Amino acid sequence: MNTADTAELIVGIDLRYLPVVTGMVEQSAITFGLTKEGAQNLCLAVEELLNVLAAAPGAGEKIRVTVRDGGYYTEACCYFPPHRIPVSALNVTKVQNPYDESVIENLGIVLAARVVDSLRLVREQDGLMSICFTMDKIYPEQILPVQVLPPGPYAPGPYGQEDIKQFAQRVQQAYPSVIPEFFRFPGKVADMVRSREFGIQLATDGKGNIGGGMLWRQGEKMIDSLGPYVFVPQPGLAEAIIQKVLENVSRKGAVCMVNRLPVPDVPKAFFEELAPPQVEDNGLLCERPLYRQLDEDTGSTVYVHPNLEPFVRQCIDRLVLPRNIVVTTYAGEFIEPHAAFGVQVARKRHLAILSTIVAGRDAAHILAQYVSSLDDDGITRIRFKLDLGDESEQVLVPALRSAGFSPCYLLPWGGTGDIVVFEHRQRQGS
Amino acid sequence: MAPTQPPLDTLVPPYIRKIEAYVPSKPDDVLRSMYHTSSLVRMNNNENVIGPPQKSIEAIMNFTPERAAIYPNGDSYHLRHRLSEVFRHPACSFLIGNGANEVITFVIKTFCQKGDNIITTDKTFAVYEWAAGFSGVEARLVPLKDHAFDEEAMIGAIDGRTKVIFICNPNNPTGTYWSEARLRSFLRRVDGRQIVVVDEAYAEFVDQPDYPEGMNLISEFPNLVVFRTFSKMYGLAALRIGYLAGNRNLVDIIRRTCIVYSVNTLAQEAALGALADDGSHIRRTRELVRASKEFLISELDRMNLPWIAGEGNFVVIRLPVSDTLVYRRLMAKGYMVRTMTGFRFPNHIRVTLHDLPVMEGFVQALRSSIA
Ligand SMILES: Cc1ncc(COP(=O)(O)O)c(C=O)c1O
Repeated sequence: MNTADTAELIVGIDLRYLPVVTGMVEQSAITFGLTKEGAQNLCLAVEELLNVLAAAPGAGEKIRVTVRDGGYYTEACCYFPPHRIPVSALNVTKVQNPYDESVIENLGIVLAARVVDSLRLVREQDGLMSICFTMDKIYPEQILPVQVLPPGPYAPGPYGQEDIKQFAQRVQQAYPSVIPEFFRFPGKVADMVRSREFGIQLATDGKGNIGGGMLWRQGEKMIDSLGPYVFVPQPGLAEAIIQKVLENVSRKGAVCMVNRLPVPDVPKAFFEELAPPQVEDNGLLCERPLYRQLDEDTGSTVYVHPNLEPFVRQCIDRLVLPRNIVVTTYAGEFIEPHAAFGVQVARKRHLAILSTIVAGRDAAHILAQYVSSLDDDGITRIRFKLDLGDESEQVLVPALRSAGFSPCYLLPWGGTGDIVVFEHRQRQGS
Repeated sequence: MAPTQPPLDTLVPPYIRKIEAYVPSKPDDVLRSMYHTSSLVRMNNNENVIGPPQKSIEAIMNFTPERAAIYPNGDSYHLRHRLSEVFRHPACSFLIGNGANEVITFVIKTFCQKGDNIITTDKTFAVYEWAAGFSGVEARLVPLKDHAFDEEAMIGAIDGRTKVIFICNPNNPTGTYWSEARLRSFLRRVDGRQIVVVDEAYAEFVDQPDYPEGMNLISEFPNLVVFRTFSKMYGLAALRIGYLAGNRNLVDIIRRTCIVYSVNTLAQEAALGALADDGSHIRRTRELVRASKEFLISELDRMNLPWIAGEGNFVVIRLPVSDTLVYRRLMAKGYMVRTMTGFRFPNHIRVTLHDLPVMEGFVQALRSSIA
């Protein structure tokens, strides 16, 4: 994080500070390029959170609020001790009228997601809880008039800002149905690359024409990639692009690359299919990501609930993964009474991804609440990431099943160990 | 109450936060059990499959366990004096380390500070780049040209903050090497302004008349540092011993960052044994490497798999599928190779040459792993 692009404030968790916090969030967000309206939405989310936190007992505790310029978005994060937030508030509580301010205090903070573009709730390594809200900056939509590209040849090479924008426009034209929405906003794509959260590799003819390219988000352990997209019928171009990208990302710490929206041009030789040919539930609509390991798999232990064992074994055998499989058996030992889940909501994609913070006895109930609340919120796809590297999470499997989740695929090294990605069945096709 | 965590974000320098720890592979017994294979042939680290020379074996056998209680000689006195006889440089121009890997860090620590850079290539042994990374030093990676170090581009990458240039000769993994004329010309162009390291980890495998013994150029080029190791040809990888050689003034400076006592007694004595070999160990090894390389290459041609092979006991193979997937499939069949994605050669593997029966089994396993 570049500290020059971050504003920070630490105050007591007390409603007296509400104007201080909201003032700081709003002003910083405007400084970082949000519209007034966008900045106010960010404020509203933080305000809702502060309301929940301040209602909990506890004296002298502080909240750290940061507002960061992400280049193409602005993000407000709040860090606070986990016990400040009652477990019930970590989860969704249904309300009749979410716009009735008088009941805001009773809302789960997930409802704060209603006003922002995305929300992320996680337990930090230092034990603090963090909730981050983001608002995307606004860019004009630009569609390039159709132009025929000269035959080339095209090769991976250096590029400038205009090239990135041309790339975004050509992607829209060539792949209108299978691409993320941001390609409609070339300036946004340019800023995504400038923010360094995304990497890009373009193939050019050296005369200002873009024949193809690839875009990826560089995570700490995992790279999410898009493409290669190719706009000219040049044999071997897609391979040359992906090859260059892999050279770029190797030795940078990531262990794998995933492509969640593969297009027909993806050279299959570089990837593996994660989803088994048929998943256990007929009619379950799973995403079918392509996967590439970047390192030699040195092996790990996975913990698996008996109920999920056949699925996990099938995945491990098919992918030839070196794994010690430990089947967990419940023998009456203590389980936390209340479950809590982390959640990421991407409003524009109508997508929510849940993960475990605390595996608790009421998990099935809480999950059901999440599902119905997210559903009310217009979220049509709900996924759950179960970390097989953490033995305590495995007790959740029956709760996931009964809440309507089915396993789609195993993502090696997707968490502390492998993860199994579940998809909620009821949400399919809506 | 949980103990207070140290403030890692302020304690840890940014360049350390940025890098990932190297994760070595698990021990064979663990890997065999995870991959459900009863045997495992290591073809990933370019070790010598023949093992150490006879005289090294004797030295190891003669090591009495009681001596484990005594510290080793702190700067490998006898070994340095023996090297001095072999290469005709003073004993003080040699510095022994816990593998050549350790002497790489000595050199970077000696010459580089924040803001400085080193130059090497994008597709070579990774430790130069890593050691620079965890020292907060920029590694400038000049692309290979025709699989070889590109002299012109490396000169072009030098700036006022360039301190060390690493040349892997012959290169791991491409097996290319610079001839003596080329190395001399490069050294003349650098003109003593930077330290030039020539890593000769695989020198003993090379049987080419124009291959330069860096050791012979040290007197002429006082900025030259040569690396050698006992891990490869001499089959002592488990004991961890390698060294650097250079002009004595230069080595005197590098010695300041050197970790004394890092080289154990067994390693020092086994290395002395290796230097006492009459040449038969090297001859046998070269013969095995030659025959296996020939066999493997002809099989690869029959399978239509492109390969890169030059000097050294290894061959790089281009696959029609992901190398990390083939790695797992080969492991399940008992063959452990090195994936090359991490060397910036995606969909390639590097294979250490074994004797013919092992190579035959490997070829069969490879054939079914890429199907
Ligand atoms: C080029 C090169 N240099 C140095 C080393 C490291 O050798 P050592 O075992 O002496 O640390 C290796 C080992 O793979 C190598 O390939």
